[in-house]
Amino acid sequence: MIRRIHYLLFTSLILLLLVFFVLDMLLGSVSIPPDKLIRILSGNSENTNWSYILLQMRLPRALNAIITGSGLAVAGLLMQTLFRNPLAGPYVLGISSGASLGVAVYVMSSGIFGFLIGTGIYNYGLVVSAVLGAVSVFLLIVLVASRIRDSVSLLIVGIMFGSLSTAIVSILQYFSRPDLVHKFVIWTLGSLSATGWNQLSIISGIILAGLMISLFLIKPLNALLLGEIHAEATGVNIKRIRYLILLAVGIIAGALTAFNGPIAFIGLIAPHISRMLFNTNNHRILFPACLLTGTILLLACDMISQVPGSFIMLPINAITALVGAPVVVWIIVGKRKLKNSF
Amino acid sequence: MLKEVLDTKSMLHTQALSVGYTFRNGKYILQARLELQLFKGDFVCLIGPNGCGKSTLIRTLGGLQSPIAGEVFIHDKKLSSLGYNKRSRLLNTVLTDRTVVGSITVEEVVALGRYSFTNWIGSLTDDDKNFMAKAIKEVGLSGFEERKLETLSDGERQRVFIAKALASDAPVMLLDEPTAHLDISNRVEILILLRDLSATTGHACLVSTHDLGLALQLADEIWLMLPGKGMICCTPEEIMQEDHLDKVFGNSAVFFDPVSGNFTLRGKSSYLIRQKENTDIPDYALKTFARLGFSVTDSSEALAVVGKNKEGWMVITPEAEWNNLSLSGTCRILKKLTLKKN
Repeated sequence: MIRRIHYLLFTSLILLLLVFFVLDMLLGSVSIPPDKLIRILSGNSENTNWSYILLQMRLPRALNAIITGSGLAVAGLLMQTLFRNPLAGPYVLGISSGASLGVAVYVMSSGIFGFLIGTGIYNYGLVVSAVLGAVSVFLLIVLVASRIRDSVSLLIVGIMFGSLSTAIVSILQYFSRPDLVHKFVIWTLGSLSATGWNQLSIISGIILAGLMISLFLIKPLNALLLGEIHAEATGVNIKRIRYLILLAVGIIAGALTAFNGPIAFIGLIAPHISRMLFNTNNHRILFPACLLTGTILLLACDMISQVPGSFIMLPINAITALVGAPVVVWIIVGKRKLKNSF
Repeated sequence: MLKEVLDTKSMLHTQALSVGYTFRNGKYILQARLELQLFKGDFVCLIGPNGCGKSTLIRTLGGLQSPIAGEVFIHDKKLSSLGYNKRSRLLNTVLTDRTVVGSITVEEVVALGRYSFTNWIGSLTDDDKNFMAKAIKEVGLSGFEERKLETLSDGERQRVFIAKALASDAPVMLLDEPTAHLDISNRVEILILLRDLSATTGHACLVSTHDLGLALQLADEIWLMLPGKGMICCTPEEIMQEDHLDKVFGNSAVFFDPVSGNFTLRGKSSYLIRQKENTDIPDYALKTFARLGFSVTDSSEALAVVGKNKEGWMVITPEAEWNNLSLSGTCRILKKLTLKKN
């Protein structure tokens, strides 16, 4: 049941989100004064440099952080509840490894696609190959899911698919030209700034679809908290729900990985932070909470990765790991009984 | 009203039902061709030794497992033809799977009992809330609504799951060993609660249990499962009249005593002791000696002479004499004497 403290928390999180959103746009290698923000956004600014930076780079990137953060957090929540495993995240199913495999094949088979380098088509090819990789691993997992009844086995199969993809990627790297390997490694570091307005509209459409599916999963997810067999006795069509969860996570993780590279840890820790803040496991509260915490986390990581005041731009994946790993340890040490968090 | 009272149509019945497991290379049938009937307001206890198929039968009747052959009917409708929603409105299965779900409140669990009635996101109407409040009150958990499941005792947790089943208002309730892991007073209370509920609500209630003594005193009907040999369904008194229970559960150590309606350890009076003249042996002490395998006689071949006076117990043998003993002390000496004799 939703209590007053929950409303208070939601309000503070929304405020925090707005503050971070604005800060993310203001800070960077070029600082933009806060009072100019409104003028630039309304198109009344005389400083075209600032306008360009803000409208063509920072605004899409900040919006991308919001979409990506919320998508990853919800995907993580779905996975953790489905597998009843606190360490599950959107990437444990091997979907991002599949995307990596697709990208690795694309980038490193330069003999075929090399002529595209430098053209706009090359970047679209990157996305398409990532989506193809993610979707093919996803289809394999759905195929396996139809034969496996229990979700923990499915989790292990997902991890194994991931390992297989990683192994193939290593072999590809071994036989590839150093500059192509470099290109691939850069992609794996993740980046929120690779998306312009065009890509952003595609990505937001896909993630919205994934989130819409997830919205209809809130009720069965609450039943799943009791365990699959209890949920089935409650009247949940476990098989269908499992497919829908896989579908939602597949869409979200696949699309986000394709556009931004694999961004780790957000999907893992946002659900934990939400559970701790709201002290509940009710998905009607956790779902919006994850949207907010995931977004806030990724905006914060993005700001750190910009290293305000400098010209350095650190890879986002390094920052999410730097922030995320200690949080996971802190949660585990602080809670002691992580198993009971479900 | 009278018609309702005389309504003897069964709520649930089976036709040539075989239960068991199917494997890749064959099947394992636990019980074959069962013809069972469960009536309105009946409180039925399912008993039988471990591994004879009690849980499998309950899960099959609850639609959580497919029958190997035959069919289950609820209200003359085939169980297998019912959708998930319809099924959970007609019958509710309470499983004793000790999946500890920590951070979920009593109210949230009971709300899941209304799963098949609520809308897509699980909003509770006033009607739902009334059913929930009534169910929580009936199991005696008023005031526990906001408590997390992890803070409850096993007995309380069992009540929560009974309340969840009650909240659904399904006319058939199947419970798999609801008294497992509970202490004796909780076992009695849970079974009495279920019996009273089936009488007041008119729901049919099937409970599998190992508490034979309680089952025989409380059940309207006993379903005694014979390992691999079908079932006997009749009143507890009929069960006790025949020596079915002794055949199923009796062994070299224990037998069913129809007089007390309970199982008793087989006495093994292999040693004799004699009561000392002018002393007293109370009735309870006779039981103590019987437990150790001693019977009190006048025989001169007795192992020892035992008696009790104002100072305490005494044991006299041809070789030695002990005085001022406690009853435990007497037993210890008698046990030593039997060791010496062997």
